Amino acid sequence: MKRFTALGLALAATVCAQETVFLGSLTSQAGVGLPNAHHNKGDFLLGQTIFDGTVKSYLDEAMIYVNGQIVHDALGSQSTNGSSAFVADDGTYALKLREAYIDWKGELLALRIGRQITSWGKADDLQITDVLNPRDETNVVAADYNESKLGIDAVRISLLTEKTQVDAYWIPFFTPSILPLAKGNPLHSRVFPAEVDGIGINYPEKYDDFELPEKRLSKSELALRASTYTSVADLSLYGFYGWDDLPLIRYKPNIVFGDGEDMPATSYTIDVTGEYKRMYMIGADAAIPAGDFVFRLEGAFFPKRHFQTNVNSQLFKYSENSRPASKRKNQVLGLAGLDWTPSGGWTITAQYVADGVIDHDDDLERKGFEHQATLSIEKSILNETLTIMASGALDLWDFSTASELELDYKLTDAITLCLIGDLYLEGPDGKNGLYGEYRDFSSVTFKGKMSF
Amino acid sequence: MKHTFFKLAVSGLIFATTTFAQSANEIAKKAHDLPTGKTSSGTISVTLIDKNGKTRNREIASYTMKDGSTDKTVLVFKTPRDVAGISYLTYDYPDKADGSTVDSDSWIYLPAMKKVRRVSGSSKDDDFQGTDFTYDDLGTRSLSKDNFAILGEEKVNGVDCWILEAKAKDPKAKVSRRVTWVDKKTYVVQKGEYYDKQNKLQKTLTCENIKQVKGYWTTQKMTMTNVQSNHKTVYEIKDLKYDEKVNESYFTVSALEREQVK
Repeated sequence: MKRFTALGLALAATVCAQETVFLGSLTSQAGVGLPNAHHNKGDFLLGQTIFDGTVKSYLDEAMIYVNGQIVHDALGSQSTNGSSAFVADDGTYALKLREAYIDWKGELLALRIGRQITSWGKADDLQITDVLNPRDETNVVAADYNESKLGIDAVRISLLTEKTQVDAYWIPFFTPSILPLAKGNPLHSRVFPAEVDGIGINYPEKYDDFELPEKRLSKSELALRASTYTSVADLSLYGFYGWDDLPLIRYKPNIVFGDGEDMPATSYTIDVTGEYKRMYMIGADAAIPAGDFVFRLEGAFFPKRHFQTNVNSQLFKYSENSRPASKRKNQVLGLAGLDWTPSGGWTITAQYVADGVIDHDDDLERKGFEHQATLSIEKSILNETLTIMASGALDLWDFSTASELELDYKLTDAITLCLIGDLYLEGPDGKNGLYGEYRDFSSVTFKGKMSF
Repeated sequence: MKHTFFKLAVSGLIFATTTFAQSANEIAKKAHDLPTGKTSSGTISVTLIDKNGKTRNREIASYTMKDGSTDKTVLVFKTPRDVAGISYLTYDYPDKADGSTVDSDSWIYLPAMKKVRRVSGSSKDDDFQGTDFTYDDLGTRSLSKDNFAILGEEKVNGVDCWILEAKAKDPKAKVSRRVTWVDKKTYVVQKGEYYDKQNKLQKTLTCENIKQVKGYWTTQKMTMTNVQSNHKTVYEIKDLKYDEKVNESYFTVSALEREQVK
């Protein structure tokens, strides 16, 4: 008995010798549709209370990191992808494990094992090379690009020197993005409409109704990043061999001929299924400081990427046996950005991004070339108790826009109150472009957050 | 953000313009070059006090290291909790032989973004994290940015001081003039006054708990008061250690990204 007591004391002493930090926050937010949001006008589009907890425990050169969330969703809009969250059937509660990893650092080598989130690239809130982590795609109201990222289960081995870092990833299990499958989700009826032009749609109801890659070694993902940091510039190279995080949708007509008795009339519906496809990417980025400015460049090449074919070509152009859900094309993405921090607490960032599909054809759902510009202005006043942020994106092809105005006021060191307005507008002549289709999600959101 | 531990910015220029100028430059240079140890670490406690007496607190872990002529600094926010984990890494370089300044290399790690961002290393006259101190106030402002003069002599905190004026050469500088009281024996600043673009008194600095720690003169408490807005910042250093082993890997971008710096 004494031996066990001594062992217990020794273990307790070890735990006490560790440096353990807990960080928590409680966020409550509600968003409502603006007058231009058509059928969503005055409707709640967001209603969540989120408890977020992080534990970091350091022991010598090792660290354990765990971040999870408990979410109550008044709209029942929570969904899962089978691994990132455990969600109640009605979508009102979710338990999320965002990250959970062991990190160890030696003299030159470092190792991180477990669920982790990593950011690649120099772009702000735009995906160029940042393909490693899938995202929670269930919300567009007051959504945050970084908060929507989902952890991947991976092993990361790093080679570290003073000015360079090389990370190699092995991702044994594919994690798809979370889709708005919950019926209470305001995006649900838009992404998975029950009918189109009077024709019923039989869409997937659960994440595993999609064809997911098998859990086999040969279905693993691999990734590599090499970065260097110098006075002249920060440079990175990226390589990725994995899966596209979003499924490609297959539309199939389902005709049941009437027999004049039990089923008097012929019924015509469309069955919707989806499958995930392999994706390859090579990319590079640079951040170059120059006085008050930092110039950012980023580019990526996706060879033979699968692109969604549109519903019309699937249903009417091809025969049943040769109906492709996707076509493989080369894709090039490029970004040029600028950060400017003049005196007075201002931060101004501007970005231009171009996205082209080589040898594009009309069967594809997307355009052959899309480009847009973004601008963000941030200013903190009253000794950083009030922060005003204005940001916008302009689709340079169809001139649709997305804009956001956010006011953050620090009531105390621990409590922040936020008022966020999101406005999506179509381009001239009602063209949807990149942002017009989100018009019905123009909203104003109130958020309160306490950190402890 | 070189020498975060209260080595106040008093800097000099080679060109003499008054009868005191030569010694003013010498004084400024000696104050600028006060030794601060090969390494240092400690916890910075910042208290912001508004005109109604309402206080807000920040706690920041700080590590510094000299690497040849480069001064490396890592700051990690501990509180308030909503910014905990935000980290800064800065490499400060000495002026060039012709007196021109060299921009710092600076990075910031934002835990919410899981990302290290390169940030401009040239803006030193901005407020440091909502405090009444600027980055220049907390570091060693480049000697080439000001013209110096001695305005007189006065006893402060019980010690004889030179009253040293540093006039910004840049007419657009937010702080047009700094007047500091420099201890004649130790070259440590005892108090200061800062004037805005219109040459109106904007901020006053008081220094307390000035003592030698492991042989290095250190100001352990500073209070900067903005007399125009009646806002005040108290800046204290705790658990200060000089010349003790600091994990050199802390001063790398990858350490920031791995959240390795405690």
